[in-house]
Amino acid sequence: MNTNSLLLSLRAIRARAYVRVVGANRELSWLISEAVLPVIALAAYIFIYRSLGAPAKYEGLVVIGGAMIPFWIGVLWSMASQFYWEKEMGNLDLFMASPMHPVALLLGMAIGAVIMSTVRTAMVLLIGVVIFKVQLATTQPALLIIIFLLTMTALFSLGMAMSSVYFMVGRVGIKLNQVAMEPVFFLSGLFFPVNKFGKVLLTLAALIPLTLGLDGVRQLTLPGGASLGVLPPATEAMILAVMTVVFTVFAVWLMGVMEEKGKRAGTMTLRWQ
Amino acid sequence: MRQNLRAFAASMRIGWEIESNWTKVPLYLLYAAVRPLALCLLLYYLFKAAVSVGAPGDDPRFVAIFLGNAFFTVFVSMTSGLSWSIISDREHYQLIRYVYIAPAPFIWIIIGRAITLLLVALSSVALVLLIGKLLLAIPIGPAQIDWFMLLSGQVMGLIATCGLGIFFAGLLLVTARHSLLLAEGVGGTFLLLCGVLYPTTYLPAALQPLAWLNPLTYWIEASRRAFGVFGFDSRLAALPDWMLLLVFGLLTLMTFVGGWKAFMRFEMYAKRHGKIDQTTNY
Repeated sequence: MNTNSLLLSLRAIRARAYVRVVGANRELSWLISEAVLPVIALAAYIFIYRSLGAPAKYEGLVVIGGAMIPFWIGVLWSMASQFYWEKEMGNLDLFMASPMHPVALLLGMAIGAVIMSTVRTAMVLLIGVVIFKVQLATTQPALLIIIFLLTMTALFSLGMAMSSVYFMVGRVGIKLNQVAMEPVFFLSGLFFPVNKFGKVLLTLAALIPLTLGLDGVRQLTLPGGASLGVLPPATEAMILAVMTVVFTVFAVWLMGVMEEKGKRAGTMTLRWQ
Repeated sequence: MRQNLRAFAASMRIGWEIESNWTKVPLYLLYAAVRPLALCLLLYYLFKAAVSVGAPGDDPRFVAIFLGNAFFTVFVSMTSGLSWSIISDREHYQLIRYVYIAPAPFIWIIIGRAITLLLVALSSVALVLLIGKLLLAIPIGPAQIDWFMLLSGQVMGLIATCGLGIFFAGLLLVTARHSLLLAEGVGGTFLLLCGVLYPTTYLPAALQPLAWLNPLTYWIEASRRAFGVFGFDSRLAALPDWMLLLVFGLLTLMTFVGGWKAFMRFEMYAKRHGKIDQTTNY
């Protein structure tokens, strides 16, 4: 990549992230409702644990899980399915005709989505601490930041791979997106510790970066959180680093393959498919 | 009336095609059941984590949670599906104006779509119950079922769900930019309030009256009693079956009539203010 292409890619990343961040903040009431909605679900799960007489650490577990929901939603709806909406609105043709690489566009989306999701996550954590009196503390802040960042990079690389599907399909992709919400909530253990899984289910769950990331973050932020974990946080960080590399390479390769197929099959710009 | 019924039948058929024609029917029905199934499994492991003694299937509290979640799925599918159908017809496909000027009341078309969604959701409930029995060893079967309670409870529950569904569909007709949040947020709010996953007595005191004035709370309780699960919610357990059905019936009637009337008002407002075919967020 020469300097000109690098500058062009950086400008594309900034432009796409700008639209996302400014667009989200233009309607401030969205921010409130998007922070309140996960809290409603979170409250329901906290009340279940209370009704079952579970230890207080499970309430913290739910709050951390609820705080990670915006990131998964960001991956699904702000990354993976974004090409569907762009295709339906007729923007995808314009993006593909422009001189930037589609990966730059997706990186811009990812950065914008991470900024949006971080604000929502902060609000969920604040509400969790203030209303539900959840205690959070960490003795290894550096490892916590590393695990969080690696989880984000692995997750959004996965989102990038998922988005390339829309070069070929339309509604089928959206349906797959919709169906990936609750099963991932289940497999990644958003509201319970995944150490309750058997070996097969745990191996399957570990293929989703959110599972290990969440497990590591919980171990490092909740008092007594280590008892909920499946692997030491440092090991989880290493696995997440490998996942980041593998998913990124896979996403870039898949993007190229699907783009080519979409062009040949004429599905790249096909609306209402 | 005949014309209305034809519009209703056509709307059901269109609703089915829109929902399912991207794949084959068995695959679609499986797709529709994946979300509730995943939630049931999530609750299974959550229960296992919280109550480490014994199998969840042997604990009546888990059976109550499982049944509550299974039947609540119908409400979520209906309200969110109906809301999405308004959003997609209005903003995505931009054909709501053509549907609206068809020679049949708009509400019949909406109810047609709602019934399709209800039927799909009921197939998911059946699949979830079957999997609960076979995989999670939940003691539910024809021998335990109180058929009168099940049928009367489901008829009233589905009518109440329809009433709430058309209320929110009407609200979406006049709502700008918050449509998606409304479509997704209603399910979560009712999940919190209706004693689906825990007894209503665990709600903060200020929210408890909202649970007791909500027909879905009684629907979930009636569904549990129909499968032989009693006493999950100590306050509702005080109601004998006949009183539960009476209160449930009255609230259902009020909800359906209120939902219908509200829809008419929202529709009139939307028409007067030119909002029927507005595009706001897409």
